[in-house]
Amino acid sequence: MASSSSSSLSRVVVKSSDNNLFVVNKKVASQSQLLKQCIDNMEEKGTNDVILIPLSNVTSNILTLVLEYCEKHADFADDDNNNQELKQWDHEFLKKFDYATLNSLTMAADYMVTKSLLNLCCQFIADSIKDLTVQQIRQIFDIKNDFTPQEEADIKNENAWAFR
Amino acid sequence: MEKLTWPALKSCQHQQPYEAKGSDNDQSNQLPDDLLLSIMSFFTIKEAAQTSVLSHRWNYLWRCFPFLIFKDDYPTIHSVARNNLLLPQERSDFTRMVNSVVDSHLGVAIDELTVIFDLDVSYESEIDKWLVFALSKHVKKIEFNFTPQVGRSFLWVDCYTWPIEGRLSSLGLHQNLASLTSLCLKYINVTDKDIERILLSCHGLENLCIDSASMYLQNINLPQTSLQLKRLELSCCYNLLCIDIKAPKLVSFTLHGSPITLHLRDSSSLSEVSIGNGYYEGDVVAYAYRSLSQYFPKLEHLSWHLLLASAKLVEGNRGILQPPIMSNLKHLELHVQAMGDESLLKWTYLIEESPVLQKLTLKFSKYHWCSRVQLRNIVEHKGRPLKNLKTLEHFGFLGLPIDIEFATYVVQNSIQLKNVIFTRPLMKIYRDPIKEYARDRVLEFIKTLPQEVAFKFGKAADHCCSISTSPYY
Repeated sequence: MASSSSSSLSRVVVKSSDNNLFVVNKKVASQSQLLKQCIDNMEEKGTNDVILIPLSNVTSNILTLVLEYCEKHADFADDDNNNQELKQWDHEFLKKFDYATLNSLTMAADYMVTKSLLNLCCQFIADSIKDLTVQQIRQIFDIKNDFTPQEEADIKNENAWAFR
Repeated sequence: MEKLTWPALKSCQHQQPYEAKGSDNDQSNQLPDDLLLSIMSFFTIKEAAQTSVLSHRWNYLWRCFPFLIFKDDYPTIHSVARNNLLLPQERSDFTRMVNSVVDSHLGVAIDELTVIFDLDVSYESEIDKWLVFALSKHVKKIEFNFTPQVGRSFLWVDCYTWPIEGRLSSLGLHQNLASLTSLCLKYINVTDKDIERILLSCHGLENLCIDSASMYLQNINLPQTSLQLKRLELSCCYNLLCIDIKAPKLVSFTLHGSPITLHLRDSSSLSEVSIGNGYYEGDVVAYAYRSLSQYFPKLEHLSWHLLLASAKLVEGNRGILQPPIMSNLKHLELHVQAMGDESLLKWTYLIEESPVLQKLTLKFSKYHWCSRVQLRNIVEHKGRPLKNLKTLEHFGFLGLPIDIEFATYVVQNSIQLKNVIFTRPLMKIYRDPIKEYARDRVLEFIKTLPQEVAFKFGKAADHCCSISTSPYY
């Protein structure tokens, strides 16, 4: 009797690294492969209890954002006609954040295996730093220039074709 | 000057990727290497190389960059002739760039090596080196496109020759082919044996494209082995005689060139087919239809690249008179190269037998050399209603009988048409009176559209060379 179809969870509880609890419905949670895997495993075991999934790497600030994204994308999951609208939403969504938030969001998307969000963040960051100067990029990513002036000149020289 | 070495980089190869020296607090905000590489994957190779000066860590990441895509960045507008006198210098700059990236690469694997440039046999040793490099890094996708520049005459003997079975056979490289999923070769000499070995050695090969291959390629004969191929494209393989393969996973098949003996076995998933003239000046529709008749009713996407006027008889290219019922066809494309007074109305039979057709694309390229067109009267064709057609896309509209007549037919017989998109040809190649004439015809045509149809102009695209009768014209 305990087949996978006999039990079906409608909601899960996700716990952030700072111990806040989020109740998430299954369709939304399934946007994250990590959460989906947990749900599938529990359903296979035939559990009917609400399950708790702790995410030790994601703060509640960032988790809220990931879940906002998942919710929107779950709404559109059955409807491929509104691609353009969703793309627009994605762009507006990411536009609001500073680089520190974008970095954390990227890491959370990676950790929670939300591939479309990961791609989206990477592309967004890539597009927005493309035309910046070396100094600006160092500032954004908090990169310490550990080259001596001679080393830097040598590297430029070695990849001269890219700096023309 | 002594060859440069980077102590930090050297150590990186052995340690885990470059360790950021900041305190733990910094670390929370530092993306790990794999995510930085994911961000870099959206960069062109030039943009990626520019990150090398940020820090030691970024220089290391750049040297692991797995998408090695080297393209000629000259604008690809075919009608603008290039100064061929500059070619030797451009080639030397280009190969130096590729060499410098390949020589300093530190990654254990690369995803892609793409080289698109007018290179020939005189760069053989460099190209061989790149190929060996890529194969040693378990490359997944290789594209070598050595298409000669417009206006440069070339001989097949001067084209690069695929070396794995010949020059480099002693290296036993075909076992390194196993990681390849996609291979595309343009203007490269290949033989029957080369292709056979590729198909048999690359167990994961899903995509194979051979374009403008030498006179050596004649037969691809592997009816016994089940291939993994999903997409196969063979274009302008001048002396190809026969393809006989078993490809049960084949989804997309493209064949542009003269009629050949064609057997695709067990390709029950085939849903996209593109057939074209390529260099061949004759009828290709009838033979393709015969050879693929069992697959036609299942196709979802069908595209024809046809020559409508030539010295030979191409009456067959003007349509199929008794088509099968195309019960799955959603998108039909007609790319035609013609004078302008021909008619496409015979294609209406196929269109009317496609009950779920949603999109129709017509790309019209006019012969450059014929300036005067007989402006015959337009024939109005009342056919069966097109119940599901929603989009008409029309590239290269010049307002000649061939395009007005076809567009009129589509508009008058569609019930659900929602979008009409017209895209002009690149007008550079046409003189002003032609431009004005075309513009006036478009304006007249827009007036005939029912209210519920949205009309818009597409972005002018360079499609004029979609069909070539010879490598150049």
